[in-house]
Parts: sequence; structure tokens; C-alpha cells
Amino acid sequence: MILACLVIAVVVLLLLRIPVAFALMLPSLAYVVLSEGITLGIATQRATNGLESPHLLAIPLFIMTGYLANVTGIAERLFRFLTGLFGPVRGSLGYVNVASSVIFSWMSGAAIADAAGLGAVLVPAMRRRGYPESFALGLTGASAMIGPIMPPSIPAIVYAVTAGVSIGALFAAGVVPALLLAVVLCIYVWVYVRRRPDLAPDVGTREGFVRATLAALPVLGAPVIILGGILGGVFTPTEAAAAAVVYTFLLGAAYRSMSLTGCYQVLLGTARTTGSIMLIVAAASLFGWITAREQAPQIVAQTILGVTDNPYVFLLLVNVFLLLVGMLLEPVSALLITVPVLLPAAVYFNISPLHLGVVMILNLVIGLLTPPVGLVLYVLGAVSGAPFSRVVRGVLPFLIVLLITLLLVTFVPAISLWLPRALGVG
Amino acid sequence: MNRPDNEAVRPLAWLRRVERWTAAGLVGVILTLMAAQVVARYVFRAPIPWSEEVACFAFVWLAFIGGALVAGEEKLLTVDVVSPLVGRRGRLAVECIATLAVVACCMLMVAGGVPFVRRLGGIGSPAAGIPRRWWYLASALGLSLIALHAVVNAVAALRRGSVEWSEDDGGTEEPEGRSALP
Repeated sequence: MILACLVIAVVVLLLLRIPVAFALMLPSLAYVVLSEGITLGIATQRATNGLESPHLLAIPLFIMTGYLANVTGIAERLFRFLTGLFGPVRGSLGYVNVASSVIFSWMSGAAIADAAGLGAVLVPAMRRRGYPESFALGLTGASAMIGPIMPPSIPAIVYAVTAGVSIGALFAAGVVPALLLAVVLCIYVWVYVRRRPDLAPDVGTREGFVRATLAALPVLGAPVIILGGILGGVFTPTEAAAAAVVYTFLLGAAYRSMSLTGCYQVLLGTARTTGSIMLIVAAASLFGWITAREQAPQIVAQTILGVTDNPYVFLLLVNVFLLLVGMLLEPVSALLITVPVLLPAAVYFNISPLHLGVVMILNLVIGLLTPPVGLVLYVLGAVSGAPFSRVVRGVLPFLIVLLITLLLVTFVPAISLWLPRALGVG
Repeated sequence: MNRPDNEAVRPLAWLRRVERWTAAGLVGVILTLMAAQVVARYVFRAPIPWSEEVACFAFVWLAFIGGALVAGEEKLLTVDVVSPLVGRRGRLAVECIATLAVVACCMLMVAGGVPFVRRLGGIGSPAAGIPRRWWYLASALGLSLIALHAVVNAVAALRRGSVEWSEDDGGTEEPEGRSALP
């Protein structure tokens, strides 16, 4: 009863446009005030302690890498290199779009950073070469979803800290699903361009390609530091993030694209984004402590077991539930609230926490492309100048592609678990 | 609908400036400490025992001061399903309810937090010996600033007679506060 009241209060407050952090905090504080034996001091303690994990330090650093990648013009360099690489193929810019997202995702853990950085370059370029705007917007939005699945991934750090699993192992678990999404998107592009003979190949000069390749080559050093450093056991995720920031900064200095004002803007942007997310993390820590005190994980597990004892049906229910949650909440808030509740049930069904993590993250990032709170939709509109309704129309067909990938990742655990096991971390 | 363009004429402009520099400085501190740790560990083979703890301390402050900065810019993350459903007056009403909720939360947290901080006294953190009260002070100060911004922004909206929500832009202007969320 208390739990139901808490959840209803949070939903009502969210719908009343109360900031997410405070929609979680207000019912939690009411609970603390009305409960016997606990004082308001516990709220301060829980909210602050929730931020004290050293693993969370990686979040502002990976956010900063994404900002730096945008400021230093890495997106443009990648675009020129990949345009040369895929140029002779029909519909090349479609493949360039997906490949750029894959490479950019090795430096950034945020779908919105990917959509902002690459969208600003790719959508206008695709429009100029005669690609329909809806296709350009939809493909850019869908391929930006690779970012939060491929390591480094901010939702993966939050899930790992909340679920108590290794960040490195969860990063490894995200690699193949992210590549699978890229492959499925490439298949979509292939099918699409077969019906569009007007999307001719774009062949450039050999010298131009060599120049673009040399300019883009140092960019590939960042993924070596991040992925190689973490998966190879050299760096902790936080150390890898710090090394990646320094490397990207040096890259910007070498490209002469960094200024003092640019540095300040990067620090400020990182502070803003970190403040937005971490205020929610603090509030969710308090809310999570209360739901655990009220035995929510046990109650949810028992309820699910009353409905089904089949792990596949459980995963299907989880998918439907999280797709609905993702339509309202951005992934980090949603993970903080749902992981402690769903994980015990998943463990009962013998589902690996790493597999559940990838499924949950993929589910929730799809919400970034669905109204009413699809943040990537707003960013795509902002960087392309397209009205919101046109962005939504462009993205709709790609939701089917994303759902197909989600079903594959959900029902074929090996997609997530093969790499961590092969590396001996899962 | 655009936001007020001139930052200097917005209420509490000086406070926002202080928050911006403090928050950006805290990010710089975290980066410096973690980069120093990498260099100390891998280059000099002499890890700094307190660097991670001090970085965590800066991170806790960044969360609350960054939160206050974003609150001052009216860009805290919200779920917006009401804006297409309500008119100008409805928006003002929604804004007032949200302000009351935010202020109530902040005041309860601060009221509960201050005695708690006092009671904890000077228990130090394990490596750097930073007293716990300095950790918890971040939430008290940050939430007080958020309450102040919420009230000032709501009063400004009431005086203007309209509320400016970033979703008004309909995708023609980048929602800055959300620009790198995962």
C-alpha cells in the first residue's frame, strides 16, 4: 500500500512537470517524515552517500570526452575519412552515418552527444546529396543509439554501480549488441537504397582520401585508450576516462581547434550535464533506499512469479515495462529506479545481470527516440532546423529496426555474454 | 518563444556567474586529480592515496552546485506532457505548483540536514581526513540555492505573465541543459 502510494505520487508529480529529481524526493521525504524511528537526517545521508562511489567519477569525465570530441571537430574529420572509404558504394552516406556513430561511440557514452555532434554534420550533408530529410533524421537518431550501448557508456556505469557488477564486464557485454545494431541499420540502408537508384555513389580523389585518412587516424587512439585500457585490465574505468579526456584535449590542441573559451565551455557543459544527472542520482538513492526498506524487490519478484515462471515471458514483460518507462524517463533516472526492483527477479530466473543490463539499457535508450520525452528528437530538431513533427516522422520506421535488435539481444543472451566470457570477465 | 537574451538583466545574474565558475572549476579539479593519479600510478609507480577521495568530494559538490546552476537556468530535467494541454494561465499554475514542490523539498532536506551535519561533527574521511560535515554541507548549500532560484524564477514568470519552457522551441533551438545526457 505504501509502495503503491509512493509510485503513484512520483508519477503524478512527474506529470505535473515537477523536475524528476524533486518528483522522486518529495514522496521520499513525506515517507521519512511520517515514518517512526527515522529522522530527516537520513535523507541527507542517503542522498549524499549515493554520489560517493568512485566509479561515478567516470561519468563527468566521459561526458567531457564527448564534449571535447564535438568541440575539436572530430565529427567532421571522421565524416571526411568515412566518405572517402564508403564513397564508391551506392547510398554511401547512409553507411557513413552508421560507421561515424560506431567510431564516435568509442569516445562518447551519450546518445545526445552523438546526435548533436554527428547530426550537425551528417543531416545537412545527406540533404545536400539528395537524401530525403526524413531518412537522414531517422538514421542519425537511430545510429546515435549505438553510443550509450557501446563502451564507454554512461547508463552502463550507472547500471553497474546500482547492480554491483563490474563496469569493465558490462562494457564488454555492450560491444556485440552495439555492433549488431550497426549491422541491422546497415541492412536497412542497403534495402532502402536499392529502391533509390538516384542515390549515386560519391567517388572522390585518392589524394583526398589519403589526406582525410591521415587526419582521422589519431582519432582512433581514443578508443584504444578507453576500450583497450579497460578491457585489457590496464586502467580502471575512471582512469581510462581521465586518460581519454587528456588525449582528446591534446588532439584538439594538435588540430588547433581548442581555445581558452572553448575549454571553459567544455568544463561548463560537463558541469551542467553532470549536475542534471547527479541531482537525480542523489534523489534516486534516497527513493531506492525507501523502496528497499518497504521490500519492493521482494514484492515485485513475488508478483512476477505469480504471473509466470518462464524466463522468456519475464524478459518480454521487462521489455514492455521498460519501453513504457523509457517514454517518460531518461535512461539514468529509469535505471536507478528500476534496477534494484527488477534485478532480484532476474537473478531468480537465472538471467545474467550483465545480460539484463544490456537489455535494460537498450530498452531505455529507445525511449530517447519516442515522444513525449525523446531527448534525441529535440536535439535532432535543434541541429537540423527541422520541425519536431518532421523529426518524429523520420524516426518512426527506425523504431522497428531498433525493436528487432532489442528482441535479438533479449532472447539470444550469447550476443551480450560471449565477449565478457571470452575475455574472462563475465 | 525565446528566453531572455541578456544574461546580465536576469535576476541573480551574479550568483549564476559564481555557480558557473565554481562548477566548471570543480570539473577541472576532478580531471586534474584523476589525470594526476594516472600519471602517479603508471609513470612514477607511486599512487596518490588521497586523490580519488578528494575527487569524490569535489564530485559531490559538483552534483549539487551543478544542480543549482541548471536550476537557475530553468533546465532541470522534467517530463513534459502538460505543455500541449494547458494555456498561458495553466502554465503559470503548473510553474507555481512545481516551485512549491521544489522549495518544500529543499527546505525539508536542509532542515533535516543541518542538525545531522552538526551532530556528525568532525569525523574525517579515511584517506584525506575531510570532515563528513563538509560532504553533507554540499547538499544543504546546493538545495538552498535551488530553492532560491526556483522562487526567483517563479516570481519573474508571474511578473512577465508567461512561462518559458524549452519545449516551446519545437526543435528549432538546442535544449542546452540536455545537450549531453545519455
